[in-house]
Amino acid sequence: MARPRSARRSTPRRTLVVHAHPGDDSLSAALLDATLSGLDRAGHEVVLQRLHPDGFRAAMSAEERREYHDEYPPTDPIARRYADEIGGVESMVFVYPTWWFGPPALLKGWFDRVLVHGVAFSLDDDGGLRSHLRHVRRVAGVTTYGSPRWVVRLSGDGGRRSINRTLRMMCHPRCRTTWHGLYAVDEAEPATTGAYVREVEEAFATW
Amino acid sequence: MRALVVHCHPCEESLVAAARDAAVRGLEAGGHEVRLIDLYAEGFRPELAAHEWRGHVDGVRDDDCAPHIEALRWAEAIVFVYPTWWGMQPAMLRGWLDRVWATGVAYDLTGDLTGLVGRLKHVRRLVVVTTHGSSKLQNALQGESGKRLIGRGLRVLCHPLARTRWIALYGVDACSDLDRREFLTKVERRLSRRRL
Repeated sequence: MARPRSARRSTPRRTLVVHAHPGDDSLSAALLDATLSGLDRAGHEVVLQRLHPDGFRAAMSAEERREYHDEYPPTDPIARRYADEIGGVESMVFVYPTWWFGPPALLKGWFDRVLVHGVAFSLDDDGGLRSHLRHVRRVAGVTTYGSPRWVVRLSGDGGRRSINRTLRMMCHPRCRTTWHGLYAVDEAEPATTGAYVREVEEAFATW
Repeated sequence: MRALVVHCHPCEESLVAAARDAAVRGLEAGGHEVRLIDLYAEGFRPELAAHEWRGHVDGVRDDDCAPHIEALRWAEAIVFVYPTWWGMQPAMLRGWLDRVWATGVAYDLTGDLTGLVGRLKHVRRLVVVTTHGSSKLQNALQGESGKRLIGRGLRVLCHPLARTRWIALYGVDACSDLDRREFLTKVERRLSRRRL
């Protein structure tokens, strides 16, 4: 068997993991543990941002909106730390439950308040957009859906699109994307969810 | 029609707040009955709490959601007014959906093929008034998550013949004062129709 790509490297890959779920006894929390343990086996250096226990606020404030176009705007200490930690990461992993075909408000707030002008991108004088995330070479999502797969497909799977397309377009030109989803999670048998958790860990152990 | 306007922008001086006022003026001119939910103005909490998540199958929600649920049950038309950020609704508006569009309010869980059945059959119109920083082409390439959520995800919970209307201004950071004024005029005119 081929050795994991990361094992051949001299420096560990720096990977950002963002988790957004209010329940510490949730399947999403188990998926976070599986992700972290897989990344650890692959030798990644992990930067973890757990939005709920950190007390991250979802909604952009009026003051933050007014400062949005400044040079490096996050003034809120948590948003500032999160923004600082993004610099230099080679991969990003988002672990969250899909609610209303997208990320929960808390994770959407991370996009709104952390990936701001000056952190994720800047606008040139002629209005052109210059990304600051070109160092990100891999993006992954780990999620659960209440709906069955075909309903998710018909509804557009907004969370997956936002991460695998909108965010991906700002990353390295050859950035690769990976998606893990468990569908109809409310009806899933324990054996199914257990298998999904193991699949996620194995996937990240060779990521 | 009974029209519920849901406004989501933190700044009163913004174009989106002006679009909210244009929408309300139009609706009133068209003889519609209007109720306004202003999420930032009332300090709505968008984060679903741990106990609300644990009780989600039974639709457990804190008391601050009660007037919102009542308004949702009252509405025949819902007019969303918000800026599109990262291709989607702002976190505050997503939080309104996470918390107010609960089990037993917006849908019932069925456990069958689709997993749920809509409870908003009295809603016949979904209108969106939004601004995009990027162009229409860029939005199309990114997949328009916000538009799909409302036009598909939310619409299926409403009346079977419910229609969606999309009133959008693209490239808002680069557009002129004239473009902005025309957008506000269009919002007011479109919402003053008797048939929204």
